[in-house]
Amino acid sequence: MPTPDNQFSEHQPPAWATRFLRWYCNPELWEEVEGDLQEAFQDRIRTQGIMMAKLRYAWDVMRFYRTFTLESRKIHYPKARFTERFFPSLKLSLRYLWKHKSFLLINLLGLAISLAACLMILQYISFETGYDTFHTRANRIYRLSATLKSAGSEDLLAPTAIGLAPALKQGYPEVEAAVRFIPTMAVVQHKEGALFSENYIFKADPEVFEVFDYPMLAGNPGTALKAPHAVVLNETLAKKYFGDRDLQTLIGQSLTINHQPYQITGIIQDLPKNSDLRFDGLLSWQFQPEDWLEIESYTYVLFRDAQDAAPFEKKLAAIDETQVNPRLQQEWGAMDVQLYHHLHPLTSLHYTDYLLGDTEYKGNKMYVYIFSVIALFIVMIACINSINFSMAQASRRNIEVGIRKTIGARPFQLWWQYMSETLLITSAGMILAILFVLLAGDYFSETLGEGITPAALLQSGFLYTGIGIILFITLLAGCYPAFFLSSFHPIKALKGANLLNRQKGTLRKSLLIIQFTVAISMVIGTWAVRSQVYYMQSKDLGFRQHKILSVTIPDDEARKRIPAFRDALLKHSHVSQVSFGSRPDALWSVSVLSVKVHGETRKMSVIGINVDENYIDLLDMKISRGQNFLPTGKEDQIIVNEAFVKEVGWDQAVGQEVVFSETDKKRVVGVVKNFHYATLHKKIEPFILFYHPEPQINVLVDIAPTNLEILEATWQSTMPDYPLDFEFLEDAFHRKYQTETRMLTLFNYFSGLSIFVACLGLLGLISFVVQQRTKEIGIRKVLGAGRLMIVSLVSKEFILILLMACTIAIPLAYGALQQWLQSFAYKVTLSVSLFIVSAVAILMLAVLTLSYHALKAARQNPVESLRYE
Amino acid sequence: MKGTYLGEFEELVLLSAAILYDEAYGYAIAQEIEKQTGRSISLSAVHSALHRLEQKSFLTSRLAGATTKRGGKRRRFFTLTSDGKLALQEAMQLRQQMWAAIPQVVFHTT
Repeated sequence: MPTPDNQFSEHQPPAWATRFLRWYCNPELWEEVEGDLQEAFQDRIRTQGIMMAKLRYAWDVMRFYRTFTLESRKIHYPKARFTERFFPSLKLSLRYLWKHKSFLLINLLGLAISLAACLMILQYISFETGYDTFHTRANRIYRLSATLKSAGSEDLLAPTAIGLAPALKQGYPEVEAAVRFIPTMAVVQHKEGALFSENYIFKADPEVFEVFDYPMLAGNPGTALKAPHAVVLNETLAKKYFGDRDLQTLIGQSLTINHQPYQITGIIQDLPKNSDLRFDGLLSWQFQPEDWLEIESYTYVLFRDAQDAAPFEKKLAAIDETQVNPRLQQEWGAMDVQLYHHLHPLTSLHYTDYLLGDTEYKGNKMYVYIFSVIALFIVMIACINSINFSMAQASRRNIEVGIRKTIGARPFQLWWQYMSETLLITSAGMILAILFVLLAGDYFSETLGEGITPAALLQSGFLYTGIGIILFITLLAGCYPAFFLSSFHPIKALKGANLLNRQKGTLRKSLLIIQFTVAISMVIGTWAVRSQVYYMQSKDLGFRQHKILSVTIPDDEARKRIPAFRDALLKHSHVSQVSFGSRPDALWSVSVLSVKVHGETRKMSVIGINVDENYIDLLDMKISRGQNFLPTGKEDQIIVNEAFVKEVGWDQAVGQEVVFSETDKKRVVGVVKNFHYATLHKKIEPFILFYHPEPQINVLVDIAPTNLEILEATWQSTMPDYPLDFEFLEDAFHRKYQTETRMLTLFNYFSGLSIFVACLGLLGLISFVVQQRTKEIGIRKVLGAGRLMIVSLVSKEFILILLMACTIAIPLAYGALQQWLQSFAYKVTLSVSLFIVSAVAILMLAVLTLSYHALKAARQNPVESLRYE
Repeated sequence: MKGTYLGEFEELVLLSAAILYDEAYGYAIAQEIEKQTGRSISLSAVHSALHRLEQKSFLTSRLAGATTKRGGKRRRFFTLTSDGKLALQEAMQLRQQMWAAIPQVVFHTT
């Protein structure tokens, strides 16, 4: 017989064993089993001691692990069918969401807007990182680049020697193919019709179609470039020349290119915009295999195996030593020039540094990272809104949870129900977001750059991404609230105990701080980017760009007639000046010179351009010492910039002699004030203007954009057989800051967005807080509290949070901006006012958001608020 | 159900439940068997047997009587059903019948 019930000790059996028992045991049985075990335990304490009792207890628990205790209870309770459980839950969810429409609307709107932004950024990122990945052999294709070393200087060149590709193809089995593209200025004449100047035409090897994927719409890729005088056009050019004719009929048509007859042998699809090497047409050509001196072809190598590339670098160095450099030595003799080649994977070309003579505008990985982070931030802000709303409403749903649990719902079922609610909202938000993006379509690609279109959203591949994003956000936004709600104790929940008291809204507050930290940082960032961009665009560059037009001189033949063109132009009263000098803003190669200072020869690297005597006046450059070139016709005069004088250390620059070689000595006639020949990213280096009165690359004309017909008419009368190709310096200038301007536009949108979504969240929260404290406010009013007091009562907490966010955001933003500004040689200083103004602006906005509900609460008649129940 | 065969241990459990009458629950039955037989009995074996006996409808049960000593857990009290009583009687009859069939000489010690 067991001992009497009243004899028991305070000792407890090992908790882990009990937990294990409860875990495995059939819920119908564990009570009696555990009771018996406890009883046995208490008896054993007296008879066998505490240690033994515990051991025996644990052992017994193990022995109860048997079939009958493990049986699931489903034998006893019929389980509801899926539809019986799902539809009532769904109905309840929908009813609940509908009842709190304003929360739903705020949540949905915030989600949709930030998802739309996120989708746009995703498009941008996939565009930027997808460069050249459309080639099926992309991972095996490498481009060669060259380092040109000459006494003291090193130039990195994108083009390589023409002779390299055939040598690689013949001598090395791992090279499957090596092809070249040679940029060519092409003047295209279609029958007797108009002239077109095409800048994106390459001469190319016939095998380019075997290396790259250029889908052919008409013609045979195997033979297209084999025949001499064959041309392959892309669809756009074909349409430009022949209109909407059937592409097949264009094969065999003739075109006059650079005054020679060519036959069209193929039409290819336009290349995707995210392709590093872009062209509109390809010409067949006869190459000279042994030509090592003309460094002008982009050379691509296709390896048999992607693994071959790394070891091939060594072989390349050997080729340079044994073949390339001896030949250069032989040809150029004393010049001491060496050429070294390197390999770059095709898909990484977009992010390499811009080399001399490189193919396309290069991307900057930093911006890809920045925007990825921004996308994450924006989604985070929306998720936080979602979490905050769910948590804020948790106290209203406690009855529901209590009843469901009493009826028999298990925590994970409730968890699923709340998760699926979030899933529902997120999916709806995603659909809205896609609609937004599609509606904003054109504007979208205009801002992000051509080639990035919302059409990609409708492609099948996006389905997985979209579902992935939805699941990710659902998990992020729904997981914690669902867990929290489903963990309510049913009795407490039904009693209406304030289940939120436990955490006092700490989570909500910290999430709010994160939100506003992000938003404030973004606004400060936008402000700083804006001031840097404006600074760059408005800074006096040291020369005039406004109303300066640059006309490209097509070829040597045309160059002879350029003086006549100039004279004809100058007859018009609207054209005040014309100069043959090279554009001041093009990219220039660095050369090394010997300069004699005080009888001592020193080497220095300088940049130089050829100009005539009208150049300095035309461009409004300022001469600080000496004078302009004298129109003597003798090319022994140079003008240097102030950086040059500083570098050399002359006290008196004018009259100094600069030695270029034994036979080539020039005299400094003047010093020009520093001007920004490159973007403000770069420091101003020593620069020389050489006197050279003949026309060279371009003609600079001082003309207003409204008088362009004068230019066109003059060109027509003096050189009707050439196309007119011109550009205003101002346009070129703005293009150079394209990346920064685009970034500014995006920053504008995204900071606005983040603020908007964060304020939406704030609006939701304050309305909730006010609702919750309705009675309190009523009582306080009855007791004589003024409106101001009520307003401060409900908004004090939020203002504090905002202030905290400010203090975190300002140093964060400051650090990040300093980092970004490092990439500019000339930059704005970040003023304190910038930070203060941004922070205050956001605080004001937030206070405005708060004040609506706060004032509403303060104005409420206490009779109304106290009556509600 | 796999017949109404009564195993040896089941019989002991059933007998103990009958002895304890109103106080028959797992632990008490285990104690009773230990006391009667002097064997060490595992609780889980008793519970398992009770579970089987209930399924064979030799026993019915109800939950009641939580005590502090049991950590506030109720016990499951078992009561013999008429089937249970019948089964016990049959078991006893079987034994008596078989005892009677043993020739006297077996136990005759002289």
